[in-house]
Amino acid sequence: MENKLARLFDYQKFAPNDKLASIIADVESRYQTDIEVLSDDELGMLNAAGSVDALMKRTAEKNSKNSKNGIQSKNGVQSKRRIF
Amino acid sequence: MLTKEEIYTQYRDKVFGYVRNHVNSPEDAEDITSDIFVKIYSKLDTYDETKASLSTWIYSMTSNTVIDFYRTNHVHSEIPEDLSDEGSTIEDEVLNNESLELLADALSKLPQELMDIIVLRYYKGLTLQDIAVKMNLSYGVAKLRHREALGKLREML
Repeated sequence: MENKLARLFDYQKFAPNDKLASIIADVESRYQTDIEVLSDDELGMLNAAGSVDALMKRTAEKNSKNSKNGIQSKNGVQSKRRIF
Repeated sequence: MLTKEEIYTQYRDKVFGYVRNHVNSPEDAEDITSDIFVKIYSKLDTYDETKASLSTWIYSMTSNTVIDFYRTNHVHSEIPEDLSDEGSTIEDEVLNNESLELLADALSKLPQELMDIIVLRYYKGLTLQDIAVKMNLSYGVAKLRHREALGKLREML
């Protein structure tokens, strides 16, 4: 049975079945990878402990400064467009 | 019977997608995919449609070529578990969309915890130890649930 399952799931990688793909996606969504991929900018902001607290703090400060200056921020990313 | 060109057009993405799934380097994946098509073309006259569908035959050749790649290159490690070729040939098992549909139906009848263990083990290739950690179970419980899931699937498949 173990060989059969291994073979069937391997064949799924070659010729995916929609119903099985949706079951797999469902399971994968419950066990997302714990590794967070950081952008190059974020990597440069890592502190010695490997956390991005410094980055988050700086982004929050920027957002608050920008909102005072009338610059909108979307999802924490600074927008370059000024809203007049 | 499809021509070589039709086979290439129809299966190139499937073969490359599968190889890429098993091999980290895109360059290696390209090379292996080329090798597979050379093999397919050279053995096309030996293909027997009474034994397997063309798709299963190409899958088998693809899978074996990836296994050969691991064997000959000893890339960092051994052959991935989900690629084990022990004890089965395409002649003694049915690999087609219907068999995947049956598996999907059987999985959906399992309790969620058992279904998760099967997918993580046999699709994602995780060890039972890793699964136990991911699912917040003790190793012993994960082993028991795994055995239970296999028993239920055996009855349904």
